[in-house]
Amino acid sequence: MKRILVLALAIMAIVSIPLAAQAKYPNKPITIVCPWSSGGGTDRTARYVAEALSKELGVPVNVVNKTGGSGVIGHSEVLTAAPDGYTIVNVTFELSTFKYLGYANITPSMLIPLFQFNEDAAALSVKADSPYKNVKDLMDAIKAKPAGTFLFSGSTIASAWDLPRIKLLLAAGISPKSVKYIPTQGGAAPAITELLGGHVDVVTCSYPEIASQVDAGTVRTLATFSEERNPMFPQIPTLKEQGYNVVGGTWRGFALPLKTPDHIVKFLEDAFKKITDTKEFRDFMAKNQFGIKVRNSKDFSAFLDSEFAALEKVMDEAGYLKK
Amino acid sequence: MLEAALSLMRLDILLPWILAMVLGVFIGAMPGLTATMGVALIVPLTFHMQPIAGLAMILGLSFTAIFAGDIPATFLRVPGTPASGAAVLDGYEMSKKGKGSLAIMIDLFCSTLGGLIGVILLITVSPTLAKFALKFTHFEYFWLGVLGLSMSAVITKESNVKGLISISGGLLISTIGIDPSTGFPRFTFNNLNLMGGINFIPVMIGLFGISEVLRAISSQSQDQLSGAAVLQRGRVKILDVFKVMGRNKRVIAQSSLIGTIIGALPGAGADIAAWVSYGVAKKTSKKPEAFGTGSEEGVVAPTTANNAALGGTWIPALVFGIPGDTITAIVLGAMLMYGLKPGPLVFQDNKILINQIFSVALISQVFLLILGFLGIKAFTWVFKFPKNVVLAGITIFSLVGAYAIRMNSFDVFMVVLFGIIGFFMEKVKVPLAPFILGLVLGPMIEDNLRIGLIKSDGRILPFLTRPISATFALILLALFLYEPAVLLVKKLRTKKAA
Amino acid sequence: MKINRDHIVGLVCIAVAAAVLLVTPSFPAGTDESKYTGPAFFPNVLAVLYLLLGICELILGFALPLKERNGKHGETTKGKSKIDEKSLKTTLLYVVLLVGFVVFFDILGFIVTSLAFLFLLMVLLGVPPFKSLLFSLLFVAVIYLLFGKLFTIGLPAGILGFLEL
Repeated sequence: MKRILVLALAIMAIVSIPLAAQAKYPNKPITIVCPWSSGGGTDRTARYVAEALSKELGVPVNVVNKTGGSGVIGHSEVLTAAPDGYTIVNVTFELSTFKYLGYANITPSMLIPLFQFNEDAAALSVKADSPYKNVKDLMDAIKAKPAGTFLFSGSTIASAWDLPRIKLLLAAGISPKSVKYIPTQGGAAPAITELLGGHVDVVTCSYPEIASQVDAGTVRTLATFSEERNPMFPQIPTLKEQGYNVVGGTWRGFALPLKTPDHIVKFLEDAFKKITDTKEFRDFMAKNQFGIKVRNSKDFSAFLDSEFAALEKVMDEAGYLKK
Repeated sequence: MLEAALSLMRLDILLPWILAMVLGVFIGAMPGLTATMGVALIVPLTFHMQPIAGLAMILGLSFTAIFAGDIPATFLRVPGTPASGAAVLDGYEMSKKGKGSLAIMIDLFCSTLGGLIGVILLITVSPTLAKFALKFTHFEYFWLGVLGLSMSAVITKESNVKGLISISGGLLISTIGIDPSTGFPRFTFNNLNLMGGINFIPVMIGLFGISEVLRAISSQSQDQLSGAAVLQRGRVKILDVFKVMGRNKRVIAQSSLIGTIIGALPGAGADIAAWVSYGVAKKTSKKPEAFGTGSEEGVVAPTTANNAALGGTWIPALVFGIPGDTITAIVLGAMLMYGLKPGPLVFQDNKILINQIFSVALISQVFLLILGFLGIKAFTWVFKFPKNVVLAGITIFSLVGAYAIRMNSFDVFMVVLFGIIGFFMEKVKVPLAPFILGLVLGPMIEDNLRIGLIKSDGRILPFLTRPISATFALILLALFLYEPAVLLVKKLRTKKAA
Repeated sequence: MKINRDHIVGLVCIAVAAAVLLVTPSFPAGTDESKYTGPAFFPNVLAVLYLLLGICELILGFALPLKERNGKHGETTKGKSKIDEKSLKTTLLYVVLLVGFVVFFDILGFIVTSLAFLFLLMVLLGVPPFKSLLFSLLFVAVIYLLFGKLFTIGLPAGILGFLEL
């Protein structure tokens, strides 16, 4: 077994040497690993980027969905893939949580953040017939009522929609344990279903995911967890306006394995920059109601480091931190 | 409605629609490739079309794929999609008796009829059903899971102890992976693949498909035909199919209804619908002992229900803009690309579009009948190969199909492992079907019980006092007490007579 | 007293239950919210059930010899002949091939592994070598075109990766 492995590796090495010597990067198909299932939001963006990247570089770019384990299986590819620039991993917010949850030892320093292209803030929504018209009403009510009265939902445990909830409660001086969190599987849709059925009180998820319910008059969104009001839905106030200095949500980007050569990183970074500068990209994002946030490799790296460091306390307060 | 139907009769709609349905037959018949994957695959192609053409492709593909999953299930004991697990039970038994072609034709007509009834319910009563579905939360889903589980006692023809062993085995395997209630990884031993949990599709392919190939190979020199059902299909008269359906009107009606309702629940889908309707059919049958030996009712019930469930899954999507299953979840995402904002208003504001969707769903049933028939014809081409080549073919398609689910060779390993386990389970007479059922329903029961208890502060009461929960509990009680009660009455009567 | 299948099933059940009960004590008690039933609750319940079922099977195996029950169920033990040596060998080799497929699938890639696997399997099952080769090529071509090209599933390229298929 081992001998055959060595043999196989030797053959691989022999055949790849002349190719590597003669041809410039990229000279064969590139794979984008998407940790989430096909047909979902992250997959849609990955496929759009793959198509655009393929046009830009002149080689096929394939999306491979390696799903499972709350995204940890796909994300881990960034640790194991060959650092040759032919495997790009589509990373999302969850990347920063795996170490704290004890799923896998992944930290931002173990990969090369390549490019960020999206950021979606969470939004806080209640049912339309709920008595709470703003965040302060809701927070006061949570404080006044016995612990465990209010049921929150949004997505899985420690997800991009769960952690903003923790941050808000902490900012309001409320212990996260005084409300209950109802985890749901498969994005925000099941949580919204729970809200519509009156089985939970508050849902945190991105505004576009719940906007159609707001338009239909069944749900009211109280605030977004963003720095400023989003120009796509300027009628929704931010938490900051309402006196809570909290932002949070999800983001999407791309990363490369650690030892990828600098010139390839630079090459891909430039290619991504070109793609995100196009009108087609902006139209695509607007159509899908994804927020655009572009960070180059250096900025993305700094952002990841600071987010990762800040998360430890939040995860600890929520009781999710694995010690 | 007629106007909407006529507006579809254009080449740029019909052509992609029918092509997608043909693709659906392929995808359904391949183990590992699911209807959901098929839909995800074609959605990017639909972005450049008009919305209704895209929606027609998605709807059409899902109907043919769910039917076609039953083809390899019936002939080869390899379920083509997750929803065809229950189709294996009696369909394959019929094949073994040389009546495979009859079974699959019954399957085709019942799938069409079930699909049709599901769509008609979607058109007529969707607001009512959608409101009913919204009442379901963890307490209700827990009972639905238990109800499904209690069917396993119904499924097995072997001893009850071994049936229980099988189902608990499935339940136990289902706890591997990240616990959704707490985020704690259970039984993973720091293995990433185990972190993702044991996917039930490779387990199903292994337990049913590979174990049967193993049995065929191990009994080859005796020329024992039980393992060689691959080569038996028999001739079939269309009149016989109608006769069977005529005999089973009640089963078709109840399975369609069960299928549509379960499909309409966002927390349950076509696979659970098929199992539950199989169990109910057996419970209400005059000949329950025939189930599992190639009973007509056992073929009719699951196949009717899984196609009926498809109509059901569109109910919450159309009424509230919330997905009823993974396929409608993709549809709602794709609608953004069509420039439609999915939600409660899009269909209220778009009377033309919704009538077109209804027309597509109805007309798709006609296409299903034709394309399904052609699909069966194409599939029976398999039987022209020598038997041993077919066995090799089943093996390689099962292995690669399992890989395709998550692009993970761990799932290929699972097929092999559970193929061997299944082989031994059958050797020691532990039934396979309850194991699958346990694996499918495990998360549904555990998560809903535990999250329900979080909601109720640990009190059991809401599980018993909420109207739908209470109904489920009573149904379960009735199911368990029915047979002993009948026995008691009989005994009392004979005593009186004496 | 001969070992029968009930004894085997019983012992396997008890072993599984023991294994589960050995692992679950390391599970956390659960967060505050799920204090009623932690992550260990469900596996523990099932393990205890398994233990009981295993004991049940053992008792059944000892108390009711298989023949009696088989007679009752109308199933004859005579009809079930043992696997002969040749079939056993073939079956074992089939399993070896399956395991080999899993081991080499990622390393050698889909095309090489599948070709070798199919060819060896068909030869093992008694298909003439030339035919085996033909059918192997046919299956691999069909799967490659269908899965790899039409359904765009990234099958492992393995050592043929340089061909840029």
